[in-house]
Parts: sequence; structure tokens; C-alpha cells
Amino acid sequence: MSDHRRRILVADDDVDACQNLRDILTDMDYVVEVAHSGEEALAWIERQPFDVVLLDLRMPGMDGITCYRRLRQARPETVSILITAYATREAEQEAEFAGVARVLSKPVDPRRLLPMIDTAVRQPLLLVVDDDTDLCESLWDILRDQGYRVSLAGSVSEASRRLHDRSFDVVLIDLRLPDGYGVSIAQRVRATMPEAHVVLMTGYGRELREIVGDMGLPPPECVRAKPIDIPRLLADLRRVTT
Amino acid sequence: MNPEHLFRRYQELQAYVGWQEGDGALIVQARPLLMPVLPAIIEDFYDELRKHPDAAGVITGGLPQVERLKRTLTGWLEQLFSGIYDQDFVHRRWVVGLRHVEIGLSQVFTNVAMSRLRQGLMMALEAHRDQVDLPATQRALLRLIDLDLAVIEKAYRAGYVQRIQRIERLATIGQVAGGIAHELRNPLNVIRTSVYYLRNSPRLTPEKTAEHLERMDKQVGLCDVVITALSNFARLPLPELKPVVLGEFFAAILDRSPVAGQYALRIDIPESVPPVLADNSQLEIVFGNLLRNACDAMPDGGRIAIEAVRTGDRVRVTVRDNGPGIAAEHLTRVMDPFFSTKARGIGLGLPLSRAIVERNSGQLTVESEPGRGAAFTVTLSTHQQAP
Repeated sequence: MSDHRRRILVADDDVDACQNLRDILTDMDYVVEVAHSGEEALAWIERQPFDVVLLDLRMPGMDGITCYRRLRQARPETVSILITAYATREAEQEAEFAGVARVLSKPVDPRRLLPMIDTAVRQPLLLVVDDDTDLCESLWDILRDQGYRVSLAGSVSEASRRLHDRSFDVVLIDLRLPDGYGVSIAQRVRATMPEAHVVLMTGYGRELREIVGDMGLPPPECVRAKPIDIPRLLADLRRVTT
Repeated sequence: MNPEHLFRRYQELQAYVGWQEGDGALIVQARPLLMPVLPAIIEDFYDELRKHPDAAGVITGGLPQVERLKRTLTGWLEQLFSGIYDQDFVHRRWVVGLRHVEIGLSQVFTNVAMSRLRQGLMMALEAHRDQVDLPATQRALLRLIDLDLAVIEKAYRAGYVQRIQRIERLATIGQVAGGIAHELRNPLNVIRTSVYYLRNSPRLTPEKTAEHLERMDKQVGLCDVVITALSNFARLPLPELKPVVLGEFFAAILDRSPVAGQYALRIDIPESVPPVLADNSQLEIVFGNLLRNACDAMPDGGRIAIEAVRTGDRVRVTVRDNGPGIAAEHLTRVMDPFFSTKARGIGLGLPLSRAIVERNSGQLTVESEPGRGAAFTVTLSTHQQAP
């Protein structure tokens, strides 16, 4: 990638509010894009990944929370900060329930917002590749709470797309996927992101450890048997990301 | 209600139910016969209360509360037989009704409880028929209880209405606060972030400084618009009715704030339409709002028509757009204060417009079909009398 600057999307129908955040964030060396509606924000997200999305709760057409849900679907690793002029307790709770990173009320104090963005962009990026949607969602919740940004893929082809879009710090791969073996993903990560750590997950235990060796793949840092031992996984992640 | 006024009302009711001069004396005379049955009546009252979930729910303080209530009820019954039916007596009855609203005890339960009380007392009198003038005493007692019921019910009603009004007022304040909060926090947001930028930007140029100052100024203006809209609504001045020539009127409005280029505007005001009788500047607010709404409904452009038609001594002026229209469930609410479907909208434009039009002796009506645009019609009186 030629430009290593962090990318931020500001979505607010208030043009001046967007312009101000663009000015402030550009000064901080972020790349800033602007959307004036939920639909526009989603169009941006579909085109390219962002590190952080600032979402106004009330915009014409799609509201901020619906927009967040779709955004989370499209690019689960994006950190969203919801900004609202209402700041009622209900809106906050709904947003928290939906998994929005943070809720800030207008008028936004940049002295609070900027550290939040700074923290978010430093969080390690993880990709979880598994066709078990429930496992993916649980891992997303658990890992998000632990301060990781988590992307999800349910197949080899989806994982390829994710890996093409951005680089990851850690890639967790299930060995059996509907359209092939996770090993091919591991190989690709090895080839294109030498710094990334790979964790293989398997329901078949010992045998697959041998298969992995037979295929001539450099031994992954960890092969973890399913069901995943979460405390151990978290310890692995802490070790490889710090 | 003040006690004197209430007492006069009670005296009127006494006359109405046929309360006699000697009724008080009859009740005082029967008092020693009635007092011994009171504990049983009171027990019965609370037994009944416990059987009805709605009524029982009112008792939140457990046994101590029931004991307190029994003493209150005893006092209330003792006073009923005192023979002194003065201002203080009536006022205490009144307070009972208010208290029922406070604790949420339905008047239905009071009515039923009074019926049981009535039966209990009548039976007590019958048991001592040899010691009293039974028919006269029974009649006196029935009148007295009916009067009590009337006072309690009246108090209940007054208290209930007050309570509902209080709830509605609070709901309105909540709506207002929500609407205003949103409309003020957005400009404040821009102002605060501009201040931050001006203070912290490492590469602040004169152009950027000017841009942010101008932006802040504009946003202060927006705050002012919100506050002005609100205070306009709060105190709408009396209209100064003068003939307004519609053609000139719209030419002036559109000259001052023309509609943007993406809108095709058609004005159809035939020569035959006479001037209307209205306050020119108030009418400007109304049509300014209607035109702005039409534009807001079609952000990507569309057709807007202003049409005037004379019918008798009235003139109908319609602002029509070909936007998305108004959903049926919103149609009845668009003129309610603080109802808005816009992302940025305080919800005062149409209610204010309607209030203005009504003060100008006119009507504001709306017609719309989803997908086929909306038409707002202001009907006003003509300056000339119909022939």
C-alpha cells in the first residue's frame, strides 16, 4: 500500500460539521472522506476500508443505527463512533446494544473524540475465517471487548477479498471451509503479509497438525483445537500483538 | 376550588336533592344507633377492597396503611353523622375525592363502596325501627350520602383533569426539549469544533481562519432562527389585516428568497382573483414555510406550483409540489407541534403557519397522496365583499 495514513469516514448531513471534522482530522494526518447520508456512507464503505467511521445518529433516509448495522455487516473491523444531537439514554443504550464502539453527544468535544480515534486506529486488526456464523459473532464480541478490531469471513473467497482490501495483524483460520481448505489462506497470508500471525483452528485435532506439516507450510504459530479455549486464544493474541 | 365557592355549590345541591331543615336533627338522633355498626361496615369495606385487584393495588403501605385508612374512614363517617354540615365539612369531603385521584383509586370503586355503606346503614336503622322515625331518617341519610358522593365525585373529576393536564404538559415540554435540543446542538457542534480548529490547527492560514469564523457566525444565526421560531410561536402578534394583492405579494417573497435552480416554479394567479384580507408579514411567514417545505420534500428538484382561485368571498391559495407526498399516517399529524419527518426539523413550521392563518380568519388544509406530491391550501377572505 502506498499510503499508510489512517482513513476516517465522517457521515453527517450537516455539511459544516463534516467540514470542521475534516479540517481537524486532516491536521492530525488522517485521510478523511465525507458522506451526507447513511446511503452515501455505505457506498464509501463498500468501495474501500476505513479505520474509523463517525456516524451521525439522525440523517435523512437511513438512520445512524441502521447504517451502523449494515456497515458492521460489510466491514466488521471498522470502528464506529456514533454522534448524536439527542443523547437520550435510550438512543445510547440502543447504540451500545448494537455494538457501536462509542456514543458521543453533540456538541462534540474534539478533546474527547481525538483520543478515541487514536486508540481505535492503534487496535490490532484481526481476521477470523470460519463458516460457523455463531462462532464468528461470538469471537467478534469477545475480541472486540478485548480491544481488537475484528473482520469476519465465512469462506476462502470471502477471506481472499478481506485480505486483498487491507493487511491484518493476526488471521485466525478454520481449516475446513465450504469452498476449500484454510491452508490456502494461510499460505496466502504468509506470502503477502509476512508480519501477520496465523492461528489455525481445527475440529480434527492431531491429524490435521500433520497435514499442515505435510503440505510444506511453515508451522503456524498456533494450531488450536476446537472448541476454542478462549483464555488460551486471548493469551496467544496478547503474545503476538504486543 | 375555594372552600366558600364549594360550600355554596353544596348548598345548591342540598336544595336539589330536597335536603330538609330537620334532616340534620334526625341524623343526630339516629347517631347512637349507627355508631355501633360502623366497625363492621368498615371491615366489610376493606374486605371488598382486597378482593378487587385494581382497588387493592392502591394499598401500597401494607397493614399500617390499612389501619390508617380505617381511622380516616371512621372519622369520615363520624363527621357524616355530626349534624354539622358547614363549609369545613364540605371541604373535607372534597379532599377525599382529590386524595382518591392521588392514590389512583377509581371513582367506580367509591360508588360501589358507597352503595354497600348505604345498605349497611339502612339495615342498622331498620333493626331499630321502634326508636326512630324510620322513613324520614332513612330519607335524610340517603340524601346526605348522595350529597357526599356528589362532592367526592366532583373533586375526583377536577383532580383527574388536573392530573391529565399535568401529564400532557410534561409530555409537551419533553417534546419541545427534544426538538430544541436537536436543533441547537447541531449548530453548537459546528461552533465548538471550529473553535477547536482555530485554537489547535498547526497550519492555520488567514483563509482558514476567515472560513471558520464565517461558519461560526452562520451557525449562531441558525441557533437564533430556532429561538425566534419558538418565541414567534409563543407570542403570535395580532394580525394587521390589510388588502394583500397576491401577485405582488409572491413576486416580493420570491425576489427576497428565490427558490433554487433545480425547482420549476409556476405561478397561476388570475387577474380575476381579488386581494385577500390578511397581515402581509404574517402571510410571508406562512408561504415562506410552505415553499421551503415543498423544496425540502424534493432535495433533487421538482415542480412547485402556486395557484389562486376565488370561490365566493374566499380565495384559496395552493402551494403544490410533485415530491414524494405525505404518508397517510403522517397526514393528520403534520400540523402538530414538534412533529417532523425531516432530519433537521424542529416541527414548528406548519403548526405556526396554521396558527397564523387561523388568526387571519383563514384555514390551512393539506391534501396528499404518497408518490403524487402534496398540496397545502390557505383559504382567506377577500378584500371585496361578494356581490
